[in-house]
Amino acid sequence: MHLPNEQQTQFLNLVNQHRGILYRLAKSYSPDAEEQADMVQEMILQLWHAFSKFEGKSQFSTWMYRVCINTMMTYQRQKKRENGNRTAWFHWTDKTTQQPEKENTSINLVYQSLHALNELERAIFFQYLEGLSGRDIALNLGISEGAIRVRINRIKEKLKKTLISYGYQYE
Amino acid sequence: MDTNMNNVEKLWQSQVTHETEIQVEHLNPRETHTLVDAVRKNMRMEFYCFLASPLLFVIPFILKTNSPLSTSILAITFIVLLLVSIYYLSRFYKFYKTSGHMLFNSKENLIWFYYELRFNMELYRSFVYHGLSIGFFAGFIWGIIEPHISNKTEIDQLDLVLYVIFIVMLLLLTVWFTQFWLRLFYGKYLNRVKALLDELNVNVE
Repeated sequence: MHLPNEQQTQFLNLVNQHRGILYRLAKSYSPDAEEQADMVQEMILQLWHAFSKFEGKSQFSTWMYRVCINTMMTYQRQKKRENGNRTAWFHWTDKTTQQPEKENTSINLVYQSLHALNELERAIFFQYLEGLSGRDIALNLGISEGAIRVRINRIKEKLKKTLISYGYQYE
Repeated sequence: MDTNMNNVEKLWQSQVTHETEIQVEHLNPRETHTLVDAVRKNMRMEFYCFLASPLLFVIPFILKTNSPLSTSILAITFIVLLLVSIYYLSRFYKFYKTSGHMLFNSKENLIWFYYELRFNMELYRSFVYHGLSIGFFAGFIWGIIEPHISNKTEIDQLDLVLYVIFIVMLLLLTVWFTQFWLRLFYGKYLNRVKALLDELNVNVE
């Protein structure tokens, strides 16, 4: 068994504290479990390659969002999965959750509606849902905070229509 | 609408996902699938193919068509092409190395990569055309002038015309093939980056 060195240990500790980011971001990009695993692996590798350049000036999670978003925006989907099971969302269940079936379906619909957004919209709204400030989203993407606010409002409108068309039940 | 989106946000925050712990095995190098890595992979592949190109200079010796003068011409051509290649390959290598460490925000990464890739594609064309020019000149000396000098015969006008026709056809074919090759291996990624920049409302030429 390969034992990690000090730097690898430090990296793994930090990434595992925030590994939810990787899985949620991958699910935002694809309904296919195999492709999600590939995307998560991709983000881990890119984070690891960039780790030596992490200076600690910002929080690790903030830096992680930046690298992961950059990775996913330029991720090349593999041709073999282009014709994959596009109805996977309707059959997907999270085996670890104890939440009622209704909420499972609702979160699936949210992910499905994210999948319908374009690259930039998805990147912006994912960070918004994750709780990042407009300023952090703007810094990560390199566009102005004002532009981010405008886009978030437009995405909310778009998302609402998409969710209704998918059968999401607003309470 | 805000209340409804608040529900979506609460749903998002309260979701539980199946998360496998990241292990050291996940850090093992493997083929990566980003746009940048696809370009870098193509550059590596081309470099390995390029390393085989000096074998072309062995052909005249296999065909036993070399005289002392033609051997000198081949040697000079080889050295000039080598120097030209070193210049261009060093530029490509610089792009290859720096493209692997893009840590800026998304827009800056993409802008940098877009213009660098475009520039290197132009360098690629320049490299091909330079190599072609040297090759044609050497071919003219080796194929037309050298036999005249070695065998002390007149330059055959028909040979000259055929050579010119051959060169023009080869030139057109090479130009077309270079454009096709660049589009196939790099142009599609350039278009993808441009599309992303368009989404970010960045105007690029």
